[in-house]
Amino acid sequence: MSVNQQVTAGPSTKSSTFRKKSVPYLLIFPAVLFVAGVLAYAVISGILLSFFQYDLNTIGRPFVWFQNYIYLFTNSAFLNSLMRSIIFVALSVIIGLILGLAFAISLYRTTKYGDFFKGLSLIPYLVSGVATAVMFRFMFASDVGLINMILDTFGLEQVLFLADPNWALFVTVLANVWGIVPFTVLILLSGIQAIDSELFEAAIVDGASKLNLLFKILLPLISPMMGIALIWLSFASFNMFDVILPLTGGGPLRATEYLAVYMYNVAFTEFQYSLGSTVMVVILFFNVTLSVIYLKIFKSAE
Amino acid sequence: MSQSGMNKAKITKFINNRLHFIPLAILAVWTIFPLLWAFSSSFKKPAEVYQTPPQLIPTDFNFANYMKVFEYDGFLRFLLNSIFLSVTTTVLAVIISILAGYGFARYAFRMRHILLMLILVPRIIPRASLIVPLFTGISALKLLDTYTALIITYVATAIPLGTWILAGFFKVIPKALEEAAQIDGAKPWQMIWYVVIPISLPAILTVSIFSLREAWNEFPFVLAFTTSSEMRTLPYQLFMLQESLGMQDWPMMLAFTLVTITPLLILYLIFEKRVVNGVTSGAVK
Amino acid sequence: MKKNLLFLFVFLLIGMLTLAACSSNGGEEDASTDEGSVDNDSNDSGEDNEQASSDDGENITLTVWFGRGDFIPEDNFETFHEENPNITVETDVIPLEQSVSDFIRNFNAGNAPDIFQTYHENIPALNTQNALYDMTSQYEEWEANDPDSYNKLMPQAFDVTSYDGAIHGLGVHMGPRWHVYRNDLFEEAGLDFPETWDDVIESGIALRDSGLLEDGQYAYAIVAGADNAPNWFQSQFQAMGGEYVDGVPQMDTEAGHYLIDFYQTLKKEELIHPESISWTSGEMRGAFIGENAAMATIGDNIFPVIKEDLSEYGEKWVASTQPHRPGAEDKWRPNASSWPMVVSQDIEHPEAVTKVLQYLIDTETVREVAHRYQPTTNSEVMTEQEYFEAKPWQEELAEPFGEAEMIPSSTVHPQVMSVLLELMQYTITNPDEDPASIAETYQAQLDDLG
Repeated sequence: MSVNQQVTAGPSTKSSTFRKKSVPYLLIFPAVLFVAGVLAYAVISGILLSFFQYDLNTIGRPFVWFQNYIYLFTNSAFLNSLMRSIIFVALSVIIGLILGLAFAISLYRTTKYGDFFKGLSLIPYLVSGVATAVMFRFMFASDVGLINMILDTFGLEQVLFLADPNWALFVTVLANVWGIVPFTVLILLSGIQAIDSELFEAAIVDGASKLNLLFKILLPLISPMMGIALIWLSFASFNMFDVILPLTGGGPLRATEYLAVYMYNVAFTEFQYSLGSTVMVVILFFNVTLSVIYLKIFKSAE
Repeated sequence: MSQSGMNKAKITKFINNRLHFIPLAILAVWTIFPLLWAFSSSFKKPAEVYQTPPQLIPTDFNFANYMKVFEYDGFLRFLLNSIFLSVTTTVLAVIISILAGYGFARYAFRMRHILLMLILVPRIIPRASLIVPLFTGISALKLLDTYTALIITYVATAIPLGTWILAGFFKVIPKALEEAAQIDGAKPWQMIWYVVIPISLPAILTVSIFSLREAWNEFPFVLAFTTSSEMRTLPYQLFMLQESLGMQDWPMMLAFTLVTITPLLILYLIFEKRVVNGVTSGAVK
Repeated sequence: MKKNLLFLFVFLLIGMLTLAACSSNGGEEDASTDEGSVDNDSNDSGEDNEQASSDDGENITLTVWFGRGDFIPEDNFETFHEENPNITVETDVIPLEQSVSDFIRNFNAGNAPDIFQTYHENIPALNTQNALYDMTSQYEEWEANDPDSYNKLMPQAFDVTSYDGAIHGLGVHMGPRWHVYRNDLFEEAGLDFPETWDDVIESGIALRDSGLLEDGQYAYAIVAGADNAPNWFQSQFQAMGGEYVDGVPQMDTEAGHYLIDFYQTLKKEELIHPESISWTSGEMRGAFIGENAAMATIGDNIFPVIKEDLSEYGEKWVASTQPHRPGAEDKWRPNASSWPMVVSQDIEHPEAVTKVLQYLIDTETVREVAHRYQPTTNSEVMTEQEYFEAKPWQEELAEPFGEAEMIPSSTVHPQVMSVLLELMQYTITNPDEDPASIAETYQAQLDDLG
């Protein structure tokens, strides 16, 4: 390791000051190398690639300006994917945030077995997306699915969750929320734990109602954490891939072909690499925009 | 805990005394039920899963499905791949994150902020979205279908979070300890090894578990960057199972699912408190 | 504490090294090694001990990629190496799904394999890239010098890789899709076996109403999930007399409307599992093998599995040619897919490459693969009594097999597949819509791809 350079030489020598000065750079060099070499490279080359035509039916790699973008935004499959993604993200964020808040408040409130529940709540975070998909597919299948068996026991009509476009979207939202809520809970919990109790004292003395306490005091106070939770929920949902591909494969009828799945299909089953990169740029654009908006809202609320 | 306990007593007054048990019960069922149902069904005979009304406890515990998993062609290979990739990634990512975290926490140097941004901003870049450009880059380097490609990309995605958590932790370590060591003539690497690492073990553990989890569960990269069946990891094989089984053998698939989850779950149960605290204190800020 | 850490670290390091070493030696047993020419293979290091070729003439090394390990002959070129001591063949398995992109990358980098295996549908796109060699003159010599072995081959062996007047390789194997049905159920219900697709619907309804099918059992099984290319859909389209223009299916035609109507009726009459739209090919086959479907369209290569898991041939199941569309019997075509071995434009030794292809399709080599796995285009093997014993269904199907036509394809094949998949899924979800208007909408999309 290059860090163990000599530093024992006399403090006045030029080379030793140079060595001393180089210590922090040497320390962070491997990290920068990996992160810039892989992540920054990917982003930059993806953006560049989106201006070229790179696919199986083209010889070479001609520069095509904005042709890929124009193609995407006039292509019904992409626009469908974009719409579906937005619905999927909105539903996931709303359900995820409500569940996360309810769980976080009650976890905070509980004294008995608090650690037990806290530990329990994080378990889905450890389960891989593929495993989540298999379990949810099993629960929502028509023949072996527990949900349909329960409906059947109550004499209700069977629902073909995975064969119906809207139900399939709903199942993907549930599976996605199952996987991303645990982290949300912990983010919000850490926010609530940091609140100064004096504020509550004062409000209770003033006779504030419980709803008032929740909406006027608790929520505003944890708004920075809400911002982080929202960013986490929407990022995780916008880029959800691991759960969707094994759960529905993007079907039925492209109903769950969200942007990441669409990108994968375009690049790896249709071999249109530059078009895939263009979708990546769109995904990144949404991520950056969303986080800027959230941070603005919750900074000002604070 | 004691300080937050004080807060707690007061704030909780505003939350109804009994009401909070409802969300807690939902939380418990919601979290554990899919796993429990999969677990119970993994002991059933293939025909038993079609039975109505469904039974939560199978009539007899049948380990044949787990035997099928362990005897599945190539299972050992997939398991070893998963272990090898997770452990290698974690070791490398933790070492690199300790160095970088220490660098950022203890030194003031030119371009510090730019470099910090360079390492932290990629945290917001989702990994699935990077597969296309990474795929073309890796194929240009002729590294497709190699462990090298997977390890490099896994380490790179684990470093930002690791550096962030560790830098935050190192900052609050009293400087006095290191100053004492410095007077004794310790070199930076000795300081890290003898002083910083021993007292930072909880944070290092948190970082390790995070990157272990990431690598163990990783799916998009291994799907896009490998082709041969010898390179598959457990999640990838689980994905392929859906296709390759001639018949839908649900109990066997669920047994496979649980086998992929269990190692992480055990690790988590051992270190649960530290992980939870790690998440709530450092990881999210 | 620090000693423990150090110990742990060293331990992990040793573990990693061991695993890394394993990874470079292990893997495909039947794939021999290869030094420079293949990039994307974990097994390609070390072991250059088997390059002991003899010194007479020029020593030639050829790289051959197979799309599945199963396609590699059992002797793994042992006899070939004995007969051609100056040629060393190195094999590797690159999955069919990956073969085109891997090949193109290696081709652009100047180290393509000499021969590789891919889906026949990819030939037009590969041709666009000017990446394939024209074997015509080699094959003319073959025919002149060894007419015996040449004439054993079915015309499809050559046709499947022909594009724009050039022949780019050899279709050693060819996999037809047949109609399979549960003859036990048909007999019990007193039904005749369907000859037209209308009959399929009628007998399906009769089976549904016969009381022979229990809950969860259906008359027919289809693959309509988003995970699979709509190959079965296309196969039925061809059997119905579907037409193609420049390799693009024409859906706004009688056959197209009929196919759409057929799928709509399957759905309306509840002849298929209600979740078919999310089914993978495995689930479709599983439904037939698991006695949950009475009919299906299934590839010949799956038959050994059906034989093993369902029953002996003829006991519970029988295969036949696919039905035809009423009134379009003359347009009916048996059809197949193929996974030809194609030849890179960059080869230096066309004679050696020809020898490898001749070896792969030689009766003595390919017989074993055909018995065990996919049928071959070597007609000698396919008409032997031995083959009929291994695959009893072939006896009746030999003639249509000989006439089988490949699924046409074009340079935009993957995009055509996407549109067809959506069309198929749309059809099932909208069983009451007018077939003509569905066909028109999607035909417009197909025409746009051109």
